[in-house]
This record gives sequence, C-alpha cells and structure tokens, in this order.
Amino acid sequence: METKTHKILIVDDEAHILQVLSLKLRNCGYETATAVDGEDALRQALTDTPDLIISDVQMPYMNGLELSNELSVNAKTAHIPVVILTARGHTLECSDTDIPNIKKVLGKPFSPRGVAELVAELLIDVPASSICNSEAA
Amino acid sequence: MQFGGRVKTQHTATYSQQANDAFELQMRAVGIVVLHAGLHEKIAASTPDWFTDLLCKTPMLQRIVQANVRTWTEENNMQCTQVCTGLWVAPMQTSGRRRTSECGIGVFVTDEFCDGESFHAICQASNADVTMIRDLIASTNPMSTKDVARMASLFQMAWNASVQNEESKTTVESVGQELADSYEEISMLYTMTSSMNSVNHPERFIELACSELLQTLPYEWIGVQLTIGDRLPKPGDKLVVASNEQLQTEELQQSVSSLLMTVEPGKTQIANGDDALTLEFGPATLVEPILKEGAVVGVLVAANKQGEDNSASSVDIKLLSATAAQLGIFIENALLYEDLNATFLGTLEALTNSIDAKDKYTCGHSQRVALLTAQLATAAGLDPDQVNRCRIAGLVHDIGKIGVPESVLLKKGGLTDDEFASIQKHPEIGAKILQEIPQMEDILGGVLHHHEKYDGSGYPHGIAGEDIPMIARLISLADTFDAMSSTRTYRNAMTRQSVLDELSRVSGTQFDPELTDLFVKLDFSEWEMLMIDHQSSNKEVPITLKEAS
Repeated sequence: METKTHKILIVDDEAHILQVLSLKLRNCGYETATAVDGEDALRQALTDTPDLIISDVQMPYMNGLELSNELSVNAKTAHIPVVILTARGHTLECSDTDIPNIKKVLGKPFSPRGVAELVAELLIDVPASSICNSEAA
Repeated sequence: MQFGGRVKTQHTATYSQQANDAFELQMRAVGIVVLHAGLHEKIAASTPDWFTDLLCKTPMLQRIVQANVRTWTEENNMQCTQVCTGLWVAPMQTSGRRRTSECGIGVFVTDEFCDGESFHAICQASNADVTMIRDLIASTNPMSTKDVARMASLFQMAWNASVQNEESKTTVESVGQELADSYEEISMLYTMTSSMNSVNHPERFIELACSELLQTLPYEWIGVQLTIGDRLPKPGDKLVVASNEQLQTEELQQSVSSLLMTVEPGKTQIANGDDALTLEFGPATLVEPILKEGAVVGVLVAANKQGEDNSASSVDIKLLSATAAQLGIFIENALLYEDLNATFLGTLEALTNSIDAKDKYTCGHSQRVALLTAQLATAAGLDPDQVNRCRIAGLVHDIGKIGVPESVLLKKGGLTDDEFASIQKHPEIGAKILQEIPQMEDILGGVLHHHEKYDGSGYPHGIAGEDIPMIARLISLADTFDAMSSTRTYRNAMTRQSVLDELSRVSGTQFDPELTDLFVKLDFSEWEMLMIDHQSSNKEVPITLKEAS
C-alpha cells in the first residue's frame, strides 16, 4: 500500500550521523536513504529523485558543495533543496556559495530535533513524492 | 508529526513483528511450521491458516507443550521430539539474552503423517475433513522422516540467527536513539557554552539555559531561582522560568523558594510518584542545586514531565545536572565580574573625587556630569552598554586636570595666556593617562574632545560637527550645564532657565543642535539631588542652587 511520505537522502561519510539522522527522520514519518559520499549521493539522486538532501561538506571523492553544484546544473535534480551540515569553525554561510539549491547551512554539533524541524519547514509546500509518482504513472 | 521528547517508539515493536512474520514465511517455504507457546498462553500461530489451526488443535501436541513449556522457556538447545507418527517438534527460546515466558516451536510434518494412527483423531479435533486435509498436506510436499534431524538442526541455526539479528537490530536502533539524545545534549551544551561570555547580562544566560533545556527535555517548565539577593541586579531573587504554557510565576516563585531550604549540595531531588514534590510540581520533577564554591546559591527545577513515560530518565537527570554545573560556574564568573566592575568604578570615582576636591567649587562635578551624560545618551537612543560607557567617560572627563598646577586651577580672577594654555592641556593629559587602560579605549575620544565646539572653534584639535565623537558631544553639554549651574571661583551660579537659554543660544555653534534639543528637555531632578548632596557635604560653599521661577 502506498503511503504519503517525503523521501530524504542523507549524505555523510560518518556512519553515526547517517544513523542518527535516518532514525530521527524515520521516526518523524519520512522515508530515508543514505549515501556515504558525494558520488554515491549524486547517483542515487538521479535515479530516485529524493524530496530533500541533507549533506555533509567534507567527504571523499565529491564533497557536499561539489554535489550541490552537480545537482543544481542537472534539470532532473535542480529543484531538490539541499541542507548542508558543516563542522563548527569551518564557517560557511548560504551566501558564501552561489549554489541556489542550498537552502540552509547548519553547524555541527547539530540538534537532530532542529534538523527535523528544518526539514518539515522546507518541505511544507512540497507534495509527498509517492503521491507524485502515482500521479505520474 | 511530533518532534523532540524521548519516546520509546512503537517503531521497534512493529519492526520486530514484521521480521517475525518474514521468518515464519521463510520457514514455511522449506516445510517447517513455526508456532509459539507461553507459560500462560495456549499454543498459537502469529499468522494462522488451515495448517496452523490443525496443529494448534492437535491434542498430543497440546499435551506435550503443556507438560514441557516451562523447561522449554528456560533451556536452549533442546532435542527434536516426536509427538506422534509423522509429527515432530523442536522447541526454541524466543530470546537468547532475556528470559521470557514464551518459546517458539518448529513443527515438522513428514510424509508419514497422514498414514499415522492419530491422523483421524487430529482431523476430528479440528472438525476437518480427512480427505481434504490429506490433499492439503500432500500439496505442501512434506519432508521424509529421515530428513527431520537435519531440518531440525537447520531450523535451530536459522532460529538462532534470526533472534541474534533481531537483537542486533534492536541494539543498533537503541544506540541510534541514545546517540540522537547525545547529539541533542551536545548541541545544547555547545549553545550554552558559547553564550557564557555574556557576564554583563546574567539574566540572558539564565533565560537561555532554561529555554534550551525546555526544548530538549519533555517538561512543562524549567526554572532557576537564585539566593544571591541583589548581588546580580538581574535576575536578582526573581524566578526565571521557561515554559510553553502560561504560568502563575508568583505562586511558583513561592513554591520554588521553599525548595531552597531543603536542597543539599550535590544531590538531585527526584519526585518519586507520591511525595510532596510530585504533589506540588507534578510527576518526575527534578530539583538540582546550583553551587558556588560548594555552597547552594540556587536551584534548577524541571517540573511536571510530559508525555506517556512520566518517570525521570537518566538523560533528564544528566542534562539537568550538567546545566546546573554550568550555571554555577557562570554565576560565579558573573559575581566576580560584578565585583571587579564595582572596584573599577569605585577606583575611578575615588580618583575623580580627589581631583574635584582640590577645588571646593567643583566638588561632585564629575559625578554630576556622568549622570547627565548618561541621561542624555539614553535620550539619544543609545543602548545600555553604550550609555554605561558614556557614564564612565563623563566621570573621567576632567581627569587630566591632575596635570594642571593647582595655582592655575584655583586662581581667582583672570588667567594669563600661559595659564589658560596650561588649563587647555587637560583633555590631552587625561587621554594620555587613560590610554594605558584597555577598558578605556572606547571612551578616550570623549575625554580628548569634550572641549571641541560644533563649529570647530574648540580645542585641542579644532574638529567640527560629526567629526567630534558622539560621546564628546554628549559630555560637552553636560559639562557646560553643570559648570554654569554651579558657583565658580570667578562667578556665581546662574538660574536654571538662563543656563538652558544660553545652551540653546549656542546650539549649532558650540553644541550639536539635535543633542541640545534633547538636553534641554531632560529631567534634572536627579541631578539636583546630587547637587544638594554635594553642597551639603561641603558647607563652606553656600547653597546656590537656583530654580527658575
């Protein structure tokens, strides 16, 4: 049975962050997928088109900013909002980048509750993806 | 959708149910029926169908389960037992780690089952048609009896692997949950630690601590009550409380204050369900002492836990005591800062008083200029920190007079050019004296330029208009007003109205016109009180305070 839910792709090379965020977001009713680097994430984003991506900055192969850039230039993924997680001290503002799909930059340590609230806020006007799929089919 | 709070989710339960069902389906595919039984429960299947119904109602199976269920729930690695012809059972524990009152049963039905002496009785017990059951069993392609032992040990392995897998998943899930809680804590403590430098505004840090805790812990309200009297004017003795509800803070303050009498250093009070704490504040209320040098200086209270699970968790207690410890350190720092600040201001006051005291006519002048400068700064819309800087600048504006010979300062009658030049040096001397004090950096301009005039005809630099620092333009008005309103060696005091008229007359040439407009509208009653105070302590000078009639 198809349920109405948003799909969120979480990208980080640290397993504990993937675990914490997936658990929190699943408990909030979202469907989650995880990727361990930018390349992996880009591949998944192109095939599965998530409703939102949460990505770390520092990752092997392709970092979070490169990922956002790749997503923003591809017509299939340009609309997907991206939330960037960055280590404190590694100060980065939305305005530091010219990448339009980055909606918010959060510092680590982050509050999982805060992330869940932000996700809800960013997805408030986005129809749940499974409904979109069934309409398209 | 619910955020926050520590909820033992149904997620795990649902998940494990799904995993169970999947395991049973897999076993059925290889010809094994999985049933379960408990000490107080009859033998049953999680997804019943004709086959499980038939087996559950089999009298021999029921008897053997009844006789052995206690042993089966307590021991593992038990042998596969024959129940009757073509029917074997292999009991298994449901959990490797925890002892439960339930066990799983793998049932093996072989191709001899339908030919056995009990088959008719079994069908009868289920009110089932013998031929139909025979056909159904044949359709399941039953194993042969010689395979039972092999299948039983495979079943045992699969069962144990499944239990272990289940446990690992539950562990990962709960570690993830605990990790998420720790992230909440770290993020909260990080926010608090990075705000600890706000010693100037202790109430802000305490409010922040309460509201951050409220967001992280599922309590109705979080409050801090201190016992340090007026030593920190804000928050003083007032209860600081954060809540999503409308609370009667005055009533709460009384109840919380009474906690201060009972709280002991290093000991968290936890409401245990039916004690006074629960009655007064609600379930799972936590009271944590705030300590300074080992003595209780306040309490941090988390009251009335929300949600279904209304007992205090170790996370609640840990986070509350970590916050109380931070509050203790913060309060200690804030008090030290307060002391330091008081000493600093006291020293400045003593210094300026000693200069003012050289001349009986200028007694208290610096304090009064400080007052008026601060009042004018407030009227000009500066923030409290800036107003405070203006007050200090007003206090020390004449400190350079220490470098001007007394003979010149106290001379009655006209000054020679040289003497006047020597007096005019006092702003520069003052700035030079103060430039070594780091806290004075922001106010040096006020001291150096308080004799500049708006049209550029003042000293020492002859700068004009907005080039004169704001702080100096404020002092200039306050200084002139106080000087003209006092008796000096060379003239008597002027009336209030004539002073204000004179200020307005030179507004735009000597003074910033906008600031002059604000200055003449100030309330001078506090200044008057100071003036009377200073004059009565200096009886030699007749009281010359003149009210405009």
